[in-house]
Amino acid sequence: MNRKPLIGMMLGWKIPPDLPRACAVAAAYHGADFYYFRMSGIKENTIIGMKLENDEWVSGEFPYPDAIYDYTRRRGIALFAEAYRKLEGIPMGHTIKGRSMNKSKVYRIIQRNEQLSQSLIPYMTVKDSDSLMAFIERHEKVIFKTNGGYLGKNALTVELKNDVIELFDQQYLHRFSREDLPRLTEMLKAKKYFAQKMIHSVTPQGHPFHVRVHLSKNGQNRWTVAFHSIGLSLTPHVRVTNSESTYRGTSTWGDFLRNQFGEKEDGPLHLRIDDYALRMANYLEEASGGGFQEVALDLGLDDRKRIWLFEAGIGLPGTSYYQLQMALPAIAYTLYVLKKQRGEIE
Amino acid sequence: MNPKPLIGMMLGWPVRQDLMRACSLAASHYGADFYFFQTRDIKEDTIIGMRLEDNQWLEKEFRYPDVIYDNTRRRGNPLFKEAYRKLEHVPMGHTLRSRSMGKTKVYNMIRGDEELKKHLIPFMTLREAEKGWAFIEKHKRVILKPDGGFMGRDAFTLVLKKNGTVELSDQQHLHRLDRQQTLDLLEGMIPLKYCAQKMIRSVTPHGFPFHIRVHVSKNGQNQWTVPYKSVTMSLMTQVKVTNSDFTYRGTSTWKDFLEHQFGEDEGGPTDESLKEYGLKLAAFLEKKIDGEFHEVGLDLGVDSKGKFWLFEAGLGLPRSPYYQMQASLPAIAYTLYVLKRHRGELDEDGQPMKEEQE
Repeated sequence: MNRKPLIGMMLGWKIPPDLPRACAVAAAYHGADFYYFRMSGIKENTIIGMKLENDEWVSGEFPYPDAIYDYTRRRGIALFAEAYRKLEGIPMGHTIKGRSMNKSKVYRIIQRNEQLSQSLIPYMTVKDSDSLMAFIERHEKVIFKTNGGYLGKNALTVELKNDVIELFDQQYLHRFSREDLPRLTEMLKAKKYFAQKMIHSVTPQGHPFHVRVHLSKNGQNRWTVAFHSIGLSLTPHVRVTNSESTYRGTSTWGDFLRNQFGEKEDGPLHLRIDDYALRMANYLEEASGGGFQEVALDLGLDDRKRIWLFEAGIGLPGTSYYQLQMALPAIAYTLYVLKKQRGEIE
Repeated sequence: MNPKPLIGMMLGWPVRQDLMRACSLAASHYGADFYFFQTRDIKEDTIIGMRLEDNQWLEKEFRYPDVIYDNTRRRGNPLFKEAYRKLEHVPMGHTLRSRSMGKTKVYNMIRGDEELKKHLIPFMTLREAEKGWAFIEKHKRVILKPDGGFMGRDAFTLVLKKNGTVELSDQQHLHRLDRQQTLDLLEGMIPLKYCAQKMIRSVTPHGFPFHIRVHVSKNGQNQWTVPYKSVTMSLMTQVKVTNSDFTYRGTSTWKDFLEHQFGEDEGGPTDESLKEYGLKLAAFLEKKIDGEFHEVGLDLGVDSKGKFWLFEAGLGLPRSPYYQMQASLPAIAYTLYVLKRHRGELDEDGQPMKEEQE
């Protein structure tokens, strides 16, 4: 009898135990053995890791695994160089350099695709008051963010109301007339703000939301939608979903569709979102050369059910609720990568 | 090599496939084969069921399983009599008769324990309209629900106003009733086996009504454990019953909830006391109740002083749209324990005998 393939899940830091557990269970389902390890546990010929035996994580010393599910994704970053060097030659599904697919790079790639670029949110760098005014007039509601801004910090929203520019800094509302615009422009320019069309992606109860579509390669090397999850900002009057003080909630995908659009799972909107998401994953892979196995799309949906892309994450997507849905294709793909390396498939 | 044990998961109606997938994966983890089936598909010697192969459900004809994870739990119900008769000789972890443990019965049992009863909400079964009115006068905010009902269906909330009128919400509309109209309503509810309960204002700092679920389950060593705790919020602030079908239900992670509600972390005092309460309650009910069960879903509320109250201890089919993996792991492990017990493979302490290492 052939020995079972051995999968190692590589972690760079401490994470909640639910995902490793889901991966262990998924590996058992796919007929593989499994352990997870921290980079600090990699020795010259063995690895100190943890294995799930019945219901307990048991520490042990293991041989190098046959394939790795890399949940660190920091290849090329000095701190992690030693780990990747030691494990060279062991197949992994994620092979691109850490943080190499950042927001602006992904945005530029998508811009090149006529169809998919329609979901990109129009933005402009603040330069002069004329172009800024034109931008505000075209989009009516605009959000200002700083480049490299973190978690919606310092974000400002602007709305044009009867020739008055209302600016909200998440605490106070300021009013500007058209004549004030040059002064405002200078201020925004000095702080390197860029302007983005504000997408009204809000539930009927007034909570800003985004839809996370988690795409994953499966055991047949095909992109699939592993799960949909909803991000709700449950703190009232904070317009930016991921700002620090918000209470983040979720609902099921089915409840969301019913509450938001009166639709059902597998209904027209669901199918349109999946179609969009799969096209996006396939395009990103093709246009960038691939080397990644998971893509997390954060989408906004306006009142006309139009899809807007808040972010396409090709880093290290996680989930607070759908660990098993995430682990199943991820482990299947890891085994695919192993088979491919062994020449068992084309 | 011994053949792998074969677990059958029995369903009485269509259920989201996430649940069966989680159970199937849990079975793989514990070294068992798995299929699920509907009660109507049980033949005389075989069962038409579904098996997960390469993440696709395939329909096949199977032999009777070695052990059943009963997700119907309608034993004694005429509709399912035939199914239970056919599977008579297959061991199951849940042997309670269907709906034999109504809210009132469980409530009255818990009354018998000094510690556990501290978290019971004042409650009465409606037998006389006048007594119901007195209950409303005493507690001001009251919820009326049918005994044996589920999912908050057909529940009403009543608020006695200072002017003596009653504001009644049926989760969709608000009605105003005077004393006589309220008495008439109560009168009509008596034959429908309604009960009245003091309403606990369990609300997050953001104004969302919520309840906490403490899921208690037996594991592979026949011990009670708490595989997860969760919160359910009504995201429509006017809907006060969190498990009603009319509201938009939401949740957050348990960790975020503890932080926002209590300023505590996982493993902190609230988290720990909820766990202890759940374990104690399950062990207590197990002793009191004739008939086996291995999953208990406790629904609790928390008042403004931070005291928690038991809304309900459900011995039916406690489920979660989010925590299928957490729930199915101990459930499947316990199902395999039941099989070992049935086969006489347990040691003197009732623990599974350790398998020899290969």
